[in-house]
This record gives sequence, structure tokens and C-alpha cells, in this order.
Amino acid sequence: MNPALRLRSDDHLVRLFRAGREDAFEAIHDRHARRLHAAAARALRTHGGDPEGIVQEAFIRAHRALRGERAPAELKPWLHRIVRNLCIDELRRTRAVSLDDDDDEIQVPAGEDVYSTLSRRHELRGLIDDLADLPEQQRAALLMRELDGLTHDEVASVLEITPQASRQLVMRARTRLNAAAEARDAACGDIRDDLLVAHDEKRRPSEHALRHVRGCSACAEFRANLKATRSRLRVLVPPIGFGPLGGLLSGLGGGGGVATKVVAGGCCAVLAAGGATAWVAGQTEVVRDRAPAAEGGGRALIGTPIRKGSALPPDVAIAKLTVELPARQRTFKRLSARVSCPAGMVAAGLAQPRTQDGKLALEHLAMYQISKADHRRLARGRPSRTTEIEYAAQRRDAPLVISVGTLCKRR
Amino acid sequence: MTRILPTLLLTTTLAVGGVTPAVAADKTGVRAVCAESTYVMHKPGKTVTGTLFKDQKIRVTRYSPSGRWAYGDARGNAKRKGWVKTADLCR
Repeated sequence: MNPALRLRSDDHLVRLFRAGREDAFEAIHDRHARRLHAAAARALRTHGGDPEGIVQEAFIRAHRALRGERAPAELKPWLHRIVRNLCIDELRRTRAVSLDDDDDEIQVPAGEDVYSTLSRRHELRGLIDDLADLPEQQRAALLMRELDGLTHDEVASVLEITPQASRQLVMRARTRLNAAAEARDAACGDIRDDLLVAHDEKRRPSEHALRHVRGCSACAEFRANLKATRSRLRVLVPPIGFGPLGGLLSGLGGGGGVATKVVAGGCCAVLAAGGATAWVAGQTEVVRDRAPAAEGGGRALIGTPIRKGSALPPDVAIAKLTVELPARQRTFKRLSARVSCPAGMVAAGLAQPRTQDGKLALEHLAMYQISKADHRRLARGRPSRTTEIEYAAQRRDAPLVISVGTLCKRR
Repeated sequence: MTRILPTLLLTTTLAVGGVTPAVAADKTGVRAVCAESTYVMHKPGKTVTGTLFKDQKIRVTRYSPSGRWAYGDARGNAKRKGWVKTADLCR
């Protein structure tokens, strides 16, 4: 290799290599291999992977890409990105083999007891899940900073943002990871107290509690049971004037006005649906396999219109929530509901509002849209997992429960 | 002359037929929704962000090159900017 090449800038070396000078790539290799190796070793430290192999593969890919495609804007961050992606693939493979198979014999590294190994594995699984829940840009900025050792200027260059924005992204990502770790480690008793109070006050539980619930199946079941109990109680209460059961429940002091109204709406739906269990407000559902009905905006999402029975690809889902349209409403009243996509997915536009019998419910509505804040996030290309849907009912004599929702796509 | 007249008529018909939708798609300003409801989209044919109902108004500021989509600011309760189908607006 010509020693003078060592003095050339990355840009110059890339230009020379693309012009046919193979020794320019050697210079690139010599300049960056050590740092890339260190970054890969750091990323794979907990898994004992092969950083040497990762770096070799990265240079093979870089060689191929530089010959074939247009040159990257900046070589160093680009090489780090290749290594990072390869490391993530490697971590996924290792995770699939070792973390998801808890029945396998536990491989305990020398000098470490079984408890420590299990504890570390559990923490790692939590960390990977928390990372997956971070918004894309925060995750990318954090990993480039932590795993690749890139400066904020370099991160900013890769993400096409300002260095200040890169600092903010990394700071927010760290804050969220800390909050997620705290929530995960919180005592289930405290979280259940929080859930009970929120349920009693009919408000959304704290973000801390929700974070914990996402990772704790026992608390998630506890919350689902709370919701189901309320739903079952509502179904028990008959509509006004429905004979002796109504009188019995009134006698027991259980015939609340709100519950009665909900079931009155549900009653009509039961009749329309030929005797199926009535919808009640507050039920959530995530549809994954087949679309139960046509959806607007499907072509943009899966390339073809979403019709009734259309197969949904694995990276697309429909998140639904039942809401009640009140009766005898004299003035226009804006209502809102929050619908969450499954973990790892973000909202991708409104789903059609439907009645229980599958009919389009737009005729019962005077407004149906996503909130201004979510609209702004969508316009910026940063949709969130949870969407606030604003709606208003047409004037009607009886309440009606319909489903509202959003289409979801993989982040 | 016998050949020129039909050709002239055909040309005129095509020209008028071609211009008619463009006239509808040239009207900027406040327009009402004539369909029962129409989607408001973030981009033409893309993500649905809202719905406009019959008789609701939208201040149209521009049209897509094809004229099939109108961009504007929804009035009234649904204050939202976005694209709607021109065909769903009153002529």
C-alpha cells in the first residue's frame, strides 16, 4: 500500500477506491478496523460473540456497497452503522437461542453462580424489550452513542438532525430506559394499588404503572380482571323496564344510572347481532390475522386495499376500542378515546368506526378524527403507539356502543 | 367541409370534456362536502387522519396535479388540514 494514502481523508480514499484503487480500501480498513472491532466487542460483550467476524463481514459489505452504490455521506458513521446492524442481528440470534429457551440447561460462565447468570439474563431480556419500545430515533441515537462510540456530531450527521437534537434524543432515551427499569423493578403490590385507585376513579393509570404492566404478566392479568369484572357487572344490569331482574338489582342497590345507559345501547346491538354478547364501552381488541371489515388507507399500508377478510401481514394490526355514543345530547360535545397499538407498533391512521353488527358507524357520528397533537406527530413522521381519537355523536334517542380505532404498523 | 365539421365537433367535445373536471378542481376557497362523508388524509390516498361529513366546509387552497385530490383547512368542529377527494366536494 502506498504510505501516502494514510494521509488522505476518508472522502478522498472512497473516491480513489471507487475509481479502482484497491489499496485505498486497505487504507480505509487499517484506519477504522481497530475502532470497529472495539465497538463490536463492546456490543457483544455480554454474549461472547465474535467481534472479529463481525468486523470482517462489515468490511465485506462495505467493499461491495462502495463498489456498487453511491458513496455514503460520511464513511465513519456509515461503517459503524453496518457494524451495529450486524451486532443487533447477532444479539437477536443469540437471544433466540439462549433467552427464549428457558428449559435448556443453563450455561454458567466460569467464576459465576447460576443465580447471577439468571439475573443477568433476566435484566438483558428486559433491556432489549425496553430498547424495542423506544421511538426509532431515540433508539438509533442511543445505540450509536453507546455501542459505536460516535460523537454527537457524527450521530447528528447519520440521523440528519442537529447535534443539540442528538443530545436531547440520547438524554430522553436514557431517561425512558431508567423509567422503564424502575417500573419493571417496582413492587407488584404498589402497582396494583395504583391500578385499583385509577380503576375506581375511572381514569388512566399512571405511566409508571402502565410500564410495569407491560412487562409483568401477573399485573396485566390483574388489570384485565378489573376491567372484565366491570364489564360483567354492566351486562348483568338490564335496560330500564326489563322486568324482575332490574327490580332485584335495584333492590340490591346495584342499578347505577351509567351502567343502565350503557346496556340500553348494548341492548340494541344485541338485537341487531342476533343475540351475541353486547358490546360495552371500554373493551379493547387487536386484530392481527384478517381484517374483519374494509379499511380506508389500506393501500398505503399493505399495497392493496384492505377489504373484509383481507389477510393482514404480520407487521400490520388494527387496534380497536369500544366507546359509547350518549343519547339525548343537545349540544355538540367533543369526546375522546385513547387507543394503543401493540408493543413495537405505531399508529398508521384511523380505522373505520363500526357498530357491533359490522356496519359503518359514520352515520352516527358528527366528528371522527385523530387529535391535533397526534396529527402533528404524524405529519412530522413520528407517529406514537397510542393515538387519541376525537369523536362526537349525532343526536340520538338511545345510547349506542361502537368501535373506534387505528391501523397499526411495525415501528 | 364534410370531413372538417365532424372533426371540429369531436375536437370541441374532447376539449370541453377535458376541461370540465379541471374547472371543478380549479375552485379554491371554501367548498362544502356533498358526499355523506369523506376521509381527510395526511397525503393523497395515504394515512387517514379524520373525516368530514356532509355539508361540512373546507377551505381549499390547492389541488393535486391530477385534480382528484383537494388540499385545505377543514372548518367548523373538525379543524384539520389535509387532503380530501375532489369528487366528494360540491361542484
